[in-house]
Amino acid sequence: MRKGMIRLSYRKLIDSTASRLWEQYVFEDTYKEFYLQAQQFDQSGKYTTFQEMIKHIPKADQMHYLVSTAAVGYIRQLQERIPDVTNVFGKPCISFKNFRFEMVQSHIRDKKQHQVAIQFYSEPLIWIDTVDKQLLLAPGDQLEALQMGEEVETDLVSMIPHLSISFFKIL
Amino acid sequence: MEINLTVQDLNNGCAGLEGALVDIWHCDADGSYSEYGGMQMQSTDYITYHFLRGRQVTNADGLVNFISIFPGWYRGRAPHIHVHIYDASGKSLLVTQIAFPTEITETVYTTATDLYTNGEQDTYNDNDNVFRDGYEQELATLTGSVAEGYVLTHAIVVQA
Repeated sequence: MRKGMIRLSYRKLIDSTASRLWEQYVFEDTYKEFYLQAQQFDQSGKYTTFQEMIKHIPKADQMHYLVSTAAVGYIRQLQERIPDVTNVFGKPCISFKNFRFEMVQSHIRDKKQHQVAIQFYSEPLIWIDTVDKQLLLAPGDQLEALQMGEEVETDLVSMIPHLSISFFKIL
Repeated sequence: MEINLTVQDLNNGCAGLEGALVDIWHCDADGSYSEYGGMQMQSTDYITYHFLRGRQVTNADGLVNFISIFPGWYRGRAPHIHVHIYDASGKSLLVTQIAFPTEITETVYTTATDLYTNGEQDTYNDNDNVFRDGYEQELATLTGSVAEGYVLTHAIVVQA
């Protein structure tokens, strides 16, 4: 009845409409860093948008990584729990260690156009079953206990927009 | 090495500029930069490393203070520190480089050979392609010794 071992991935977009404080901090600080880096990569001030810089400036794609340094401290505050993805009690319950930060778009004179994305990848999870459109999950490190017939702790998690199953392994 | 930089505003009688963001970076003792490499100019790949880069905001006197190491040198350039100065809003004011007095770099590279293993620099300020048009404004003052460490003092004029 176990379906398999999976990893969930959640793509969190952060833009000027960010309402929660954590998102606003990430938005503000990554914009500031983008603005500094943009003036470093394009010292003549020829380009205004991130897209133009990526297209015309060699190595401008390093900005994804360089701007991420402004978000890393906030990502640490999440204490390895993927945000927004909660169990039925509304509590974040999915662990992550890996993430990928990406500049989506930005403009050096118009902060409203700034948008970044953080893709969170969960640690391995045992997908036990699907209960009323919710995934019944147990932590991947509980596989042996489960196979031994022991009782393991589980969570029921709803699929939400931008949440996907990115890796699957048959057990 | 202690690095003391004063940012002065030409538009305000060269008074110290408060709140300016001073971003500096330089190479390590071997001549390699972080966030860079894996190419002909620098074969060591330090693209995903952050080191010997720092930012500080100037105080009311326009002063910032960094603690770093004495930079090494790499082929084709005289020893230098890169500087990018931004105003408090993050707008770029000046991109420049700081030059070193040759007698001091020569002393370091030929006596502190346990740490600096590349020997004498191959390029001097007078024939460096950045500094050779005149480096009076870029030349820092250094005091100290290999045993005691060095203190670098320099003033940079911007138009805020």
